[in-house]
Amino acid sequence: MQIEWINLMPELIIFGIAIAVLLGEMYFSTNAKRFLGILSLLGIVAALFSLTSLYGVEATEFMGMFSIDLTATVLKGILLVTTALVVLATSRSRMTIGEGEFYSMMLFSVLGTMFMASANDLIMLFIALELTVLPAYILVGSKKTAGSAEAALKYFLLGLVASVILLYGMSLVYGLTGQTNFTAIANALAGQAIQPLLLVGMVMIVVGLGFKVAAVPFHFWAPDVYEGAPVPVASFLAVGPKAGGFAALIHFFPVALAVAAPIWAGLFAILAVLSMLLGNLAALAQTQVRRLLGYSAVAHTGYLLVGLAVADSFGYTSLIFYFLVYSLAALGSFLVILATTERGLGENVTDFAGLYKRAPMLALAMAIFLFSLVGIPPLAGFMGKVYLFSAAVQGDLIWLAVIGVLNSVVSFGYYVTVIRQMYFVNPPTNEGLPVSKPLYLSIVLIMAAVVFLGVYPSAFLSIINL
Amino acid sequence: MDYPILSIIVFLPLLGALLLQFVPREKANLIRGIALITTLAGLALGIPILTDFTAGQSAMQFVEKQVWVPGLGISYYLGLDGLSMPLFLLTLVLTVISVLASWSIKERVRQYFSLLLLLEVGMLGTFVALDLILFYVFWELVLIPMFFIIGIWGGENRNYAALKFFLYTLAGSVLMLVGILALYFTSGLNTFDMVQLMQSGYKHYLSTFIFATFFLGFAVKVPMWPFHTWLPDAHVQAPTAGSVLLAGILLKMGTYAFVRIIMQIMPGEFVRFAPYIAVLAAISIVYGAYAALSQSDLKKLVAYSSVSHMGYVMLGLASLTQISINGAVLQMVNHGLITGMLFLLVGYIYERTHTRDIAKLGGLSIKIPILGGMFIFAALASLGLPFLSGFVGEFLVLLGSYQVYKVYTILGVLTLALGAFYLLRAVQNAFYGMPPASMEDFKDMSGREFISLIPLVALIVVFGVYPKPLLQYIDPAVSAVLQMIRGS
Repeated sequence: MQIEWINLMPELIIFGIAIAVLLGEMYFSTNAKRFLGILSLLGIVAALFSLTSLYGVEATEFMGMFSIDLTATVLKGILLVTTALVVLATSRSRMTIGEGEFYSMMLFSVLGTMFMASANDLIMLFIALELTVLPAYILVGSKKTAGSAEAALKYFLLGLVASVILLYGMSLVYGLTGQTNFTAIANALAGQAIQPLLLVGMVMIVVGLGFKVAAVPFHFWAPDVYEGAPVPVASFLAVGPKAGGFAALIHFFPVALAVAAPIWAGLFAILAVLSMLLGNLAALAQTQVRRLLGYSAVAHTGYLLVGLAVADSFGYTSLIFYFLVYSLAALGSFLVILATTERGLGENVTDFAGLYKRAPMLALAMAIFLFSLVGIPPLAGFMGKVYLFSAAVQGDLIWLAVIGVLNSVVSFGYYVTVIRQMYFVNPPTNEGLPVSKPLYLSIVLIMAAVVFLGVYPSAFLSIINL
Repeated sequence: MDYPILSIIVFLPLLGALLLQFVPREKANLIRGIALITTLAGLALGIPILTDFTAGQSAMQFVEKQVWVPGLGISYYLGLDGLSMPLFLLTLVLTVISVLASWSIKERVRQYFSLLLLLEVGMLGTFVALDLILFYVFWELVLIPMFFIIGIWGGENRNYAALKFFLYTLAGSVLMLVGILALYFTSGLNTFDMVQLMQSGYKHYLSTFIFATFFLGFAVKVPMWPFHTWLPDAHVQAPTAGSVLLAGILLKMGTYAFVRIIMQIMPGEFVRFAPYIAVLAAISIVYGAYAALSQSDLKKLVAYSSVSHMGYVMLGLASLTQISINGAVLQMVNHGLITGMLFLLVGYIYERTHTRDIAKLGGLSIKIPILGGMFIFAALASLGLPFLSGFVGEFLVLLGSYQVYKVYTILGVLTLALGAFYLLRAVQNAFYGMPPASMEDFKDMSGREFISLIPLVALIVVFGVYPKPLLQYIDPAVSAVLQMIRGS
């Protein structure tokens, strides 16, 4: 078996850095540990560089288990960029665990997600998925408070159940086809009538992965985890593991289960509607900002699933674009919360009162992120929705597009509560809220990206050939 | 024209807004000055538009076209014709006036003027955009600044009014996005280019659905009964400049979009639904006037009268005759001038009296004779006194609509009398008679306020006596619209 190691370079770099950072935590002096964040950042940047050389490469490694293609490369790119921003933003934060532990756990999780994005085999997919979520469980529980422990336990138990269901579904598919490779499964199924057992297996896989991306009705962990986890962890969770879940969905269903496309597409359409509706309605009732964003994340899973419900390549690429614009805005808003909580502000919506005066840049950034999440032009979220709903309309799912746009009106109902506090209410004190430089830089970069991608989306779209 | 004049005018205010961010926020006068200079520069740049515009040419002028998002065939496409040019210039004029009217804003001055300039970008862009997505971007861009202007500098109930304004307009317009996308995929042209879509003679079984989504988006904006309920709240709570621009420009965006998009891209659907639109227009006319009749708040009275006047515009459009559409477009401009002036005056009066309750006012023409005189002038223009511009537009509308909808036209004529009644009654109660003893003395109009009103007075008189220069731009564009309607 010949392996082109160069094709695995990004993964190898992340793996190496994750180990190095973990060792650094053990052997470095307290002073030197401060540089572990910078080391992680450099590692991610190096991985990004090696990833760019893979742009346009189509190959498979490990006897077809690991596939390198445009979708995988772009999703890895998004993942690495957002992770780099998280690392940059948290490099001066006070951690609940050692810096090295924090960053290495995060990097291991990223590594798992990268493998998920490239997985072309059921076994590879499952192992990668576990590698993604296990460090995430640890990170969620890393704050030694009841809330953090509760969130971690909930995340772990529900995640475990999801994994088991997923595994059972996979075993059914394997039992029917005798194959674990996605392409081989597709070949085995081609031309045959769809058996009921295959549908059972398919539904179980949908349920298992639905848990991972927090689609309704498998979303219960999301608000608790977003609320209970330490803030730096929550910002990472908003982007990292979710990317893996969607990467798996985009790879597995269209390739392996192409024969049953209308069935799973319909299933995803239903999940999309439920997630949008319930996510948005539940968010309306929230007064805790992170919980609110947790439900908004559920709603956005719904929007993203529209891309899968369309079930064609235009749908998937639109999904990837929307994932990028969503994760930027979601990450940005979590980082603003990180910045305010680091200065001792609470996490209720009312704690944002008069933020425009105390931290004008943070307030502006937050407003831009929230407006982008609603999908107001000329911000990136708007272009993302244009593409996603274009895909829906083209795929004869106008009703889904209608539900989608109406939901964005509903979503304004809760995002506005934060905006209103920030701009319409006077602050309790006029005391400024200084922000550490790396965190500030990270927020400003994301804000610039959200505006830039809204005005000039082709910068990204040309990469994914849209 | 070898430089992109439209882009320069549209984005100049954005530049001004960015510049403001570098001015220390305590320097209120410098901030106001920069805002004023920016809007004045925009107005000055508008002069070559007026002089170089070729009247009678139905094709778009000052065209700029650039690929924007190649993947979806979205282009950055700007241009003006006889329909949009008057509204474009009206926007330039009214924003200068709004800046002057906002001198009395004392809190968060820098934020305020930044938002006002941003609002101008959205308004100007809406009238020049010739690509549907670009149009939608500008259309929605207007929402955010207006939301903040009402929500931060508005009256007591600003929170509610701002949210209601935003949600209503957003709900109306998001469906339009689906409509635009459906149009894109069903036209088979793979373009959002409005001009190309207009010429394509679009027909598809989804036409009715697309029409419905557009109709909803625009009807909320106009607003037509029964989609009007956001308007009284937003107008009354908004600060003076906000009301001026809401009434003067934002409502026109709705009626303009009816002509530009529905009538020109899907004329067949418009003809089919015109009778229903006419019913809603007639209800708006009567309802708005009756609602205005029962208001004791001067600003609310003007707000409801807007619903009525916009009803005339819609009736003119729905009648589909050359005269009535000419009248409707003319009335868009005139209503912008007249209602803008009324809101301006209500704002100036309120700054002095701190009440808008007609019952508590009285004898204002004794206390503040110039301001009072101006208000009476604007009220007369609004009720349609001949030789003032309000008359011409509504007269043409009714003249044209009589051939098609006799009953509605008669209702419209009768409502004109009603309009005269409530306006004159308000004038009588608030401006004539003796001032209540409790009323203190106020200063009459300041120089700044006077300057802000003069252009409006001049234009109202000029267009009232001699509307031909305006009509010579509008008429050929209307002919082009009607040609499409007949071709459908």
